[in-house]
Amino acid sequence: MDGVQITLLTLLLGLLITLGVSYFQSTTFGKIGVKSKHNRPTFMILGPNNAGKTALYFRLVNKLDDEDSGSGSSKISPTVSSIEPNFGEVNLPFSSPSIGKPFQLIDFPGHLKYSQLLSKLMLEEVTLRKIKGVVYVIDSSSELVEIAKNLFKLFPLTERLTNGIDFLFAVNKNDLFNSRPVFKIQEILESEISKLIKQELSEKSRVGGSGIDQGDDDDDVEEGVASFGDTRDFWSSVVSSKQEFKFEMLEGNMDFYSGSVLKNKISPWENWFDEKVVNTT
Amino acid sequence: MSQSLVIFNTSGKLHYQYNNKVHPFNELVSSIVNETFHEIEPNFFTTTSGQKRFYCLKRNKFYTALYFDVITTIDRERIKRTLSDIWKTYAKIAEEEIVSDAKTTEKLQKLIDYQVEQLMKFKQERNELSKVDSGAVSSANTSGTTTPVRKTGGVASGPGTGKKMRKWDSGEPVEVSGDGTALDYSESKGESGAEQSNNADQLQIDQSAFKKENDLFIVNELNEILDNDDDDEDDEAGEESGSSGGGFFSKVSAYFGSTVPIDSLNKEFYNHLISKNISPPTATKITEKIKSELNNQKQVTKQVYKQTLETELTKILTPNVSTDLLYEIKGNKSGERPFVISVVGVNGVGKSTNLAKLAYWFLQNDLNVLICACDTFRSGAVEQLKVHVNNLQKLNSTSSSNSKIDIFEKGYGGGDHVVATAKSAIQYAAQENFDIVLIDTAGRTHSNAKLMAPLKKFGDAANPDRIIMVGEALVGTDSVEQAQNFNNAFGNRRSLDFFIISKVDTVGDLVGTMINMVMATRVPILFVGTGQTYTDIKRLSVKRVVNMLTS
Repeated sequence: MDGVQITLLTLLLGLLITLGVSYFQSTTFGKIGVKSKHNRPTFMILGPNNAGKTALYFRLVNKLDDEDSGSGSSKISPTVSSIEPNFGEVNLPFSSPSIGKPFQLIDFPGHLKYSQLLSKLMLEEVTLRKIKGVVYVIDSSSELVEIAKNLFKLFPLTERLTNGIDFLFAVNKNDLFNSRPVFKIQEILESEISKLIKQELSEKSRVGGSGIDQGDDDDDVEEGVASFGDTRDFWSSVVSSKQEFKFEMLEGNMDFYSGSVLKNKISPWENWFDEKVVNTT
Repeated sequence: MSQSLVIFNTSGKLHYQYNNKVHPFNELVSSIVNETFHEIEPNFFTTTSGQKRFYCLKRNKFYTALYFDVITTIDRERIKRTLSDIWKTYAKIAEEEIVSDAKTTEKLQKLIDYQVEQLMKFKQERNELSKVDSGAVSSANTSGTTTPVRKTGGVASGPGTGKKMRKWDSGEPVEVSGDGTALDYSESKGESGAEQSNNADQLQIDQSAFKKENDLFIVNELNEILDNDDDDEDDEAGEESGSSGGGFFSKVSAYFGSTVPIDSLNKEFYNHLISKNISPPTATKITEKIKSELNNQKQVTKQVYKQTLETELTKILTPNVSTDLLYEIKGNKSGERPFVISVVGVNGVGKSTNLAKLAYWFLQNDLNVLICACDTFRSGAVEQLKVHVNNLQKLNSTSSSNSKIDIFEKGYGGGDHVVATAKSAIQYAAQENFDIVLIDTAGRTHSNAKLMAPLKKFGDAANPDRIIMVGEALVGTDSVEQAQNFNNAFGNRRSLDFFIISKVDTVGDLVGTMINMVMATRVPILFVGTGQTYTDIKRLSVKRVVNMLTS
């Protein structure tokens, strides 16, 4: 082997190593190739603080154990607001666990402080396509204005998919004496969201593009997912002018069922889960 | 009077509850999330909400917390000791019996109840002078052993000296039966152990022998648990050293995603944060937090660390209140009083400019704006605002908007002139149908108490709906103090509502000032100023800022 060959081989080797290192670096630190451990079929439990999300979560996750122990009247341990999201697993459908497949169940705290983390979790970690449904827990006796605001920001995210993400509005605590009926809650939410939409659309509408921009852009949109620049564009596409908002206008199915976690009246919600699982698989 | 004690973890699951008053702890949790609590020592903090005072001790992912309804006289050391004892008791028992049958739960209940009783008892003794109705404390008890304690608590409210003597008398036999060496325990434990048993005897004076034995049993068991358990805080300090070997190779392997000692990562990111204009104390706080977030693991991958940092920064920057100003102002529209917003800040940070930007934004949203010139100090300040208003009026007349803008000024002057101007401006605005009053104030140095004092008076008199502080992104470490001083300037009942960070376009990636100011005061950022024209004011994009800081 003469000197030239050795030199060439050395050069080639050097090049290969450099390429290998840079490739490795991009896969380890870049976004490509790194999948979050939460990226799998998921149901999310969302809602304001104190609505009963965590109670419902533990109820669903511990369901199987309770049935094994034979006592149907399992007591529900009280909870305080959670500080971190809970990630768990459930075998769905509930009605026939034997053919069940594991689904991820995420209970996300309702603190306003975590709203950015929630959208990050939904868009980047779990990704929208893997979200099979959202359970939005509402305390039927509570104020609804904040909830409407929250939904107003949430829908533009979930409706990015062509068919939207299905929602279950779990109207909790229907055992309280001051709880309101389901249709009433739906009505109030619709009218509140209408108000917000009207305000959003009237805002800065006369001057194109100026005013205070959102300044937030999501460049990394999944393929085949319609991208709405911001909430405003989304809502103007959903609601034409002078129209009141109705939940039917959204692409995803919106179901309202009342129940009570504490009183163990959650069978309509379980049926909803089963329906979603059976239909999507 | 009411009090309660719980042990819960981050998922919100309760592991122990003293009575059924669990609901108030939600307030504690929200204060933990928003980090508004006051930290006494690392992992031991207190907060006051409504009529309740909370104390909370954090260990791993578990929180042991209790609250009292009234301001108590118990010293913090004592509370801390009780909480940490309770946590140890719980941890011990949970560790011993993995299967949680009814018996262990009962045992746990008994042991912890007893400790809580002791603390309450202690409190009552303190309160005896003021003669608080001690018999009525929390009747919501479950455990049988604790009932006698209650009763004697009531009886024990006699003259103090006689009691003390008798306590000593019957104290002897207890020490003997309790292994004879109760006082030889590790310092803090020995003290509390002796105290507990002493207290126990005091209660037993007029109780039956059976009850006495039962209580003694508990005391003994407690002592056993607390004695065996070495303080787990101490060994945290004793870690480190030794795992840093392999210099070059560890660096190479770290590059390929293997684990690295957390301390070197801490140092690396600490320097990184400081290079982004975050002040050293703030950076220390952040890295400390991440360390505890990662459960004091010694080895982590760089990626995990970075993700945790991103999450942490996102949490810090996300507002904990609604920043939807327009919605609130429109809700206020029917009211008598206009919506008053006041802008404060250090000299030359851009108060007037950002005020004009805000005014332009409101105008475009069909709101009538009155600008009030309360900088009656610096020459030319009023004229400067006049120029802005003239510009805005011109801009407004060319667009099809039917809103109006005007300026309210009363010239220059010192003393009470500012307050008088603000008051009459609000009055004028109410008469003339203005929706919003924007009050410009004089810039002042945050470290000069003479200049800061009038702010409180101004705040009380004008009572603005929102106080916004303008801070510039250019300042470095000083921003922490600026934010704190302004936040405290309005007295106990009032604080800043929002920040506007100006001159963000001039600093590039070095946006650490935002973190400094928000961390120091927990006040959210409303807008960022990014240029010279009226439209250069933007909502904060948390995601982008976090990317800037971590890249």
